[in-house]
Amino acid sequence: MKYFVSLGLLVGLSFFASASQVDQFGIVRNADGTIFEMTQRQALSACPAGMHLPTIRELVLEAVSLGSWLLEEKDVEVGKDPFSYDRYSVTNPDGTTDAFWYSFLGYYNGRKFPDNDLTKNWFWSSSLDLERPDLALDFRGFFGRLGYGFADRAEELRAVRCFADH
Amino acid sequence: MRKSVVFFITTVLASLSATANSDYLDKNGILRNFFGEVRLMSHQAALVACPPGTHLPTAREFALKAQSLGAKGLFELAELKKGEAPPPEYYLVEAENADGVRDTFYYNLRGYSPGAPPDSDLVTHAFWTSSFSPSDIWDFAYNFYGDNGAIYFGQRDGKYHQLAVRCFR
Repeated sequence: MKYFVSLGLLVGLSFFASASQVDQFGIVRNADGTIFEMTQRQALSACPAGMHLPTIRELVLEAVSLGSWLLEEKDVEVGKDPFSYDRYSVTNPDGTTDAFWYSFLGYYNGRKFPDNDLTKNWFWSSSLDLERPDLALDFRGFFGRLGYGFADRAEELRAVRCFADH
Repeated sequence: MRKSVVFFITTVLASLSATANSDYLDKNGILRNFFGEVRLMSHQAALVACPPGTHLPTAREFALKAQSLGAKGLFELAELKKGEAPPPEYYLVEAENADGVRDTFYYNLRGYSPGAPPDSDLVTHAFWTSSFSPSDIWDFAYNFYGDNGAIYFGQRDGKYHQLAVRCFR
């Protein structure tokens, strides 16, 4: 029994030791420098102290600074879906709910598209779909699209970015 | 004497070989081979095919050319009010130029009239643009269709897709 506990501790420690490295983009990396892909459930505790897994709104706001479009729920007339936008309604880890409309159409338009790990990967957010809490939202760097993945399935792995706490 | 014969033959052969490789631009900027045929090539080859002082046009440059030939042409994203659709018949062109700058716009080919006789090579060919179609899976670039003014994307690999080249000044 004692051995199992020790082994468990070792495995746990080695997981956090390897997951605690973040690069200049806040991307979590393995000890060998490769991107650490994990489930969203694991991602929730993968960021080091002083950082956190961003909500989908935090990721969207960054995309908006790169040209994507955001419409707040209050600005959209009921029954009149805005062209090119999709609606997202989520719950965040602090229990708050959030809803907005997002379009990736202007993502990087008129700008040089960088060839780096931010634009090559899909990143988990900490937000879950309001209607389907088994689904977490992700951000897809190449086109600036949002997507969904099962939060806790071993075959649904994504990269993780950590944002600095406010 | 023998030396001068060898020199003469070498010079003739060199000049023949240079002539055989000498593609040229016709008055419309279409790249042709020594025999006057329109050169068809992959996108990789097209990107470096235009002679100095000319360049392979971007999707936007072709769209503007089509606009000058009657097409309704471009509708910029910046002209769209938040949540509004573009005017009817405009479709999205999502290009990435060779310098890495993304260039997204709406385009409408309606009204395009190249004004050339129907058998002109301007009308009967599709041309490479220098704009890539961003994809994380496929290797695509945009083409301009001389017959109807359409801008679509196709595979860059010459094994599947060989198109003409029109160089702009």
